[in-house]
Amino acid sequence: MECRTCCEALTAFLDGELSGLERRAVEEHLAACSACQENCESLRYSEHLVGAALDEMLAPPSWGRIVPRLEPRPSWLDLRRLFGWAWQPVFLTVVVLAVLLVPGFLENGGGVEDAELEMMLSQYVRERDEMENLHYGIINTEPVGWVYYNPYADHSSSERRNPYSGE
Amino acid sequence: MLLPVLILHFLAVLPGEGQRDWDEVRRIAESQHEIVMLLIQNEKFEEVLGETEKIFSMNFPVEYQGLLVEGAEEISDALIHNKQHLLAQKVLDQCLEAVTDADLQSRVCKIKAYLFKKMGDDEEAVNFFRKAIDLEKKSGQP
Repeated sequence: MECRTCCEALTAFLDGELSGLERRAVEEHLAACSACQENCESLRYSEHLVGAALDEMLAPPSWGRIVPRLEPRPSWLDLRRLFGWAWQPVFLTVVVLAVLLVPGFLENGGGVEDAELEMMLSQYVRERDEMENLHYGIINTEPVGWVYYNPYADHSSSERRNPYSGE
Repeated sequence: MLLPVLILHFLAVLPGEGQRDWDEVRRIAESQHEIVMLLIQNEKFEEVLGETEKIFSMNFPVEYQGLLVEGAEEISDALIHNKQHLLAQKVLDQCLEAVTDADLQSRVCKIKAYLFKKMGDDEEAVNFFRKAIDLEKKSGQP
């Protein structure tokens, strides 16, 4: 038997799949050829490693670590994988909420600044203070007395007569 | 038998009935306003809120609610003049509940802001002034 023929038959030989005649031929060649014997040992060791790894893989903890790595992670854009048949209503809901909520945030962000607001308030206070002084007629820090306006009175009555007109 | 009743009912709902009702409401509010101002003038402040509530609970039509704000402004000015700032705030709160127009509510909020400023509460003053600006925007006024 040639080395090439022996190497090709090594896997079957280790698996016990050769006929009696073929197995004896491989054994005779291995006994005489150190290179092929070394190949056979190497192959046998590899099979041993694979067998040991399989045993460990069958254990539940290992399997639990491996399975997630085998399955592809769903992409955030892959809505069908995330939500299944419900991906369309979910997508539409997200779009509608975005349309309704984003303008609200933008509007709040574009409101009157605090500094501008305080300036407007200060101006309003000044104007009202001036109105108050006119209303209550303060002379020499003493209030002259105060008159008030009744908004509910009927101001549509006929013109008042001027007592000084001489008519 | 039915005909006179129908005629009377028809006469009762003739145009002008609403105006007559409003005149009555206005006259009552006018009298109440005088009562409130006299109470303030005589420093009977504990009776003011009870009398002002009578004005603000009269359910003014929307087109006349501006008078409520003017009245509240007069009363609060008089109370401020008498150093009754807290009482003035309560009167303005009564007015705020009585008016439904955003522009009018904005005016009341501005007066409240002015009051808080006078009371030294700058934070509340800014809050109410901001609320007034927001109400102005809502009503479409500049």
